[in-house]
Amino acid sequence: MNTIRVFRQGLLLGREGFRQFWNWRSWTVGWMLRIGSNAFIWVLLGQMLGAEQKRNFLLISNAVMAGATGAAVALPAATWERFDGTHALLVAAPSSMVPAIIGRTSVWLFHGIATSIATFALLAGTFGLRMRISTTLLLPLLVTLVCTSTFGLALSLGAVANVAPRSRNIVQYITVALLTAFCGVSVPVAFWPHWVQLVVQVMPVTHGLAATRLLFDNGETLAILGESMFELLVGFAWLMLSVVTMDRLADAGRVDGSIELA
Amino acid sequence: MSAVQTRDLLRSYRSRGGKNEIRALDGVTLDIEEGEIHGLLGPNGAGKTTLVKILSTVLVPTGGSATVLGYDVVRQTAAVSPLIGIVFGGDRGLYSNLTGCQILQYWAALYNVPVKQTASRVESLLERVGLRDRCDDITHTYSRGMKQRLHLARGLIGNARILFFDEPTIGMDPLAAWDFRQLVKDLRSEGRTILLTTHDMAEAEAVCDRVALIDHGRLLAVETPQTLAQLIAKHERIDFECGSLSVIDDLRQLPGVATVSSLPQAGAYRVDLHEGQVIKQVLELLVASGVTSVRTSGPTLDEVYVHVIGNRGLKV
Repeated sequence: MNTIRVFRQGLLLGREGFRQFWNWRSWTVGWMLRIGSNAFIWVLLGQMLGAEQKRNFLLISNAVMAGATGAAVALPAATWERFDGTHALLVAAPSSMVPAIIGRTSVWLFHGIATSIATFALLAGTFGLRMRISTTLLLPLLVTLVCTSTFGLALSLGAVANVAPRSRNIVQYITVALLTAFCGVSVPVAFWPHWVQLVVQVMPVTHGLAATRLLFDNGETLAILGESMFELLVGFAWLMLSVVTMDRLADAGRVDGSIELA
Repeated sequence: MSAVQTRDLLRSYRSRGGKNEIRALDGVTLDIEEGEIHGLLGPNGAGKTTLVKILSTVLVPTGGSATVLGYDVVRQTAAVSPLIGIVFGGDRGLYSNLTGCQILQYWAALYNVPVKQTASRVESLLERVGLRDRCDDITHTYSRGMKQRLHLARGLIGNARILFFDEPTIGMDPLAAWDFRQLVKDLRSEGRTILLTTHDMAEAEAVCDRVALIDHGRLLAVETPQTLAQLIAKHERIDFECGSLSVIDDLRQLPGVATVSSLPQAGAYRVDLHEGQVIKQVLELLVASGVTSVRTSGPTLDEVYVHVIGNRGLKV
């Protein structure tokens, strides 16, 4: 029970931190304008290629990836305790610091989900993408899956980035770039060599994006469910890895002396 | 049972490049009794913070042992954590976008304070440190002294029996520092044990029951501030006021007199003695010379510190 309570307190801390970054106006005009215009340009390129299929490919990719990009902010956010000088206090506290950090960073998961849904709405409205009611209803679930698995990866890498906190933003940008390049966002996964195709099976976005495409293409329910389950498993695995990594790195920090008091 | 006990505590690490072994703590053996305010004095890099980090379970020693209320800080961290509170100095360690009340609620959760007790615990702590009126303001707007009091409240949220204060009054104005020391004294009256690291001699002298001088990872002395002062007080000092310079010359001839120097005030002088026994002769000479304004004194802790640690200027 206390784990949930610590998580909630962390979430509150994350929410207040988020408010320091964004309000409705700056989120819409600042963040969404940046993410939306980036996605818009890619979809426009697809449209210029002349095929509706290519345009829709890029539209779905970029709207899903917009959410993953938002959720990936959890990576630098996982290092913020170092900058606040609270890392040692968390390590020394009787309760595990993991729920507190997950709580604090999970605000970026919600940020990612909102980003993706808003991007879908923006692009589908602009380019006239038709969405059935079932698609409209199921889409938020798939977006949530992709954002959650990306959040798990971001937390794992964020825990590692705590070893060199100044690298946090670079690691985030590289992570987003790699996901965009190899997980079926810019080009289909099949474009890449076989070994790359194998690696991306355990990466976020790959299966969730495939499920989203199937949803739009009126694919078989079982196939959509299968891809969704893979995305869920991948996300769960990354999330568990992040929990273990945070714990292990705290123990390692105790030994190597990298935990500073303030 | 000692509140804190260390035996031959050692913490070493490799220098950059890994060639040399540097000992941040080198065989520290220390006992701190329950209810004691124990000062840890030393220059930068002396090992003060390393010792606090080990005792607060965020650093593992490379040798020796350390216990807090009988629990080993390496093998029994889960038992140690609820018993201790850490209080920093400075701005860090607080979430600047939360209110004072929210910060205490956050740490109350992490210290397993029962939900039903949290509100009253937070309220009473805010009242105690004088922040109740500002509890709903974000801490970014707090003054240095207010932040420090909030740090203290945070350190007490789990009802810690042992508190580690790391330079708690650093950067505080004198009035705020005085207020803070009063709070520290109140904690002693509740039977809490406090280990306080500081550079501030006046602070150590004002609040500490005992003081440990540490340098290069080794304890040089562990005594009460008064006893430490007496360690080098074999040389007493006498301040006096006098118009005749011949008395100065006579004093300089006496065996056991180290120096006779003038003080900033006109006609005021100071005699430093090598040996306490000579004090009677000096006083007799002064009285015989018609001097009526005479004052004897011992060294301050500040002077003891410089005497024992050595004046190393800006070197660390």
